[in-house]
Amino acid sequence: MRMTPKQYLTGVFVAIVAVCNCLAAKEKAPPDPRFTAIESIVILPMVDARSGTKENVKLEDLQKSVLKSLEKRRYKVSLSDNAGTVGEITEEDLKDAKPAWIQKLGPAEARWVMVVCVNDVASKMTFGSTGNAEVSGYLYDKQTATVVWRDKGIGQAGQGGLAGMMLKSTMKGEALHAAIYNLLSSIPKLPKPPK
Amino acid sequence: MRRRNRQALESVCATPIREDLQSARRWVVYLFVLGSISVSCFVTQALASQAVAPAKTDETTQAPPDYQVIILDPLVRFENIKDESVSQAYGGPNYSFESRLLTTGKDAVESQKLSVVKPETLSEPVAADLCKQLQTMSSRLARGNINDEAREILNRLTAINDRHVVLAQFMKVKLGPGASWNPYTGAITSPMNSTLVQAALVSCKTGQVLWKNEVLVRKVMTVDSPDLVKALGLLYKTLDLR
Repeated sequence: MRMTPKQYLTGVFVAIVAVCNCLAAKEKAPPDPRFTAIESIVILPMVDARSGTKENVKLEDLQKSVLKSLEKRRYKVSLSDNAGTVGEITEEDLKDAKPAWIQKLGPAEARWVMVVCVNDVASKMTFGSTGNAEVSGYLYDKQTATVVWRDKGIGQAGQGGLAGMMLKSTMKGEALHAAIYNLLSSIPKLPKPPK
Repeated sequence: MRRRNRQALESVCATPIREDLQSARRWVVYLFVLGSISVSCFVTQALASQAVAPAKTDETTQAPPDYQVIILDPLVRFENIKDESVSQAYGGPNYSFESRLLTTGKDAVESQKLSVVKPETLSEPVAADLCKQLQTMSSRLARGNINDEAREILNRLTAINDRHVVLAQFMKVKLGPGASWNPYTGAITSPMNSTLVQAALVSCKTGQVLWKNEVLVRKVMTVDSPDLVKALGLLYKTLDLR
């Protein structure tokens, strides 16, 4: 039986997909034990570490956005409005966190606490409009007083033309959500719990 | 019959309406007179206060406080916005930005008729070491954020001279992705570069922030850029210790 070009191409395509899948399965690293050990993460109030003139940003909405992103990665997450007994949290405190300081973070009963810091948000009108956002995140284990994870995320949004100019008010939010998505993408997704 | 009724009604109503109008006019006149009196009182008071103002400024033109300002070596940091990795200096080496900040800070302090003390000229050898420790905390101090560690060092400087005040300066240059345009979707982005300059004057005795300010410019500047001169001018514009 002779193969038609269409059948031949389909065969090649299926073979490529199969090879790609095999490679992807091979590259899948075992989950990091530091993350698999996490029972539940408490997300503390967002830290506003912006400089200069501060544009209006709904920090509570961002905290919820972090919660949703982590839930998608199969973590048990809860929100808290209690930052603990550390007083005002600054970017410097988060970066050079001392063990004693980590242990004072968040509610007393929480073990894994996450702090997300808004470093910058800006929107600009050109022929169109753009939005830029920069966030950083820190996950601490209070029991061992260590940093489990820290990363940075940036988000850019923008649309040219008159339509873009009319959308200026949405650019900040869009950039912030993109930044949070990029930030949390470095947290490994937990495997599905066994049924 | 109808015409008679109307005439009777008009004769009854007309008199009180006219009286009401007259009394209303009277009230308007009273209110006008009262209003003009109060306005004239207000104007005279304002003029009187203006006349007193020079005397008040004489009182406020006090001699500047007898502070000795230690200008810490400024901290300049160039970092990549994506991962905070320290980036190569852009538009000139770090030390040239540091010297620019140092000169501007010194000029601003001297314009306040305050004496400037160089950390290396302090008589106590410990003091220079303490200043070096404080300089590493410039990013925190320049923001006006004094933690316990910094407070302790400031207290030790007070032991040498209780008139010491520290000027901390910090400059952070963030280098990020530039502008872009996607011709297929029409999506655009603007550059994420920025320069932040912060400065604060902190009293060693009390750990209190006497003055602080910051300027954020959404671009990267070269050391000889007029924008940098403008930004530093704005930074020290609000410095007034008198």
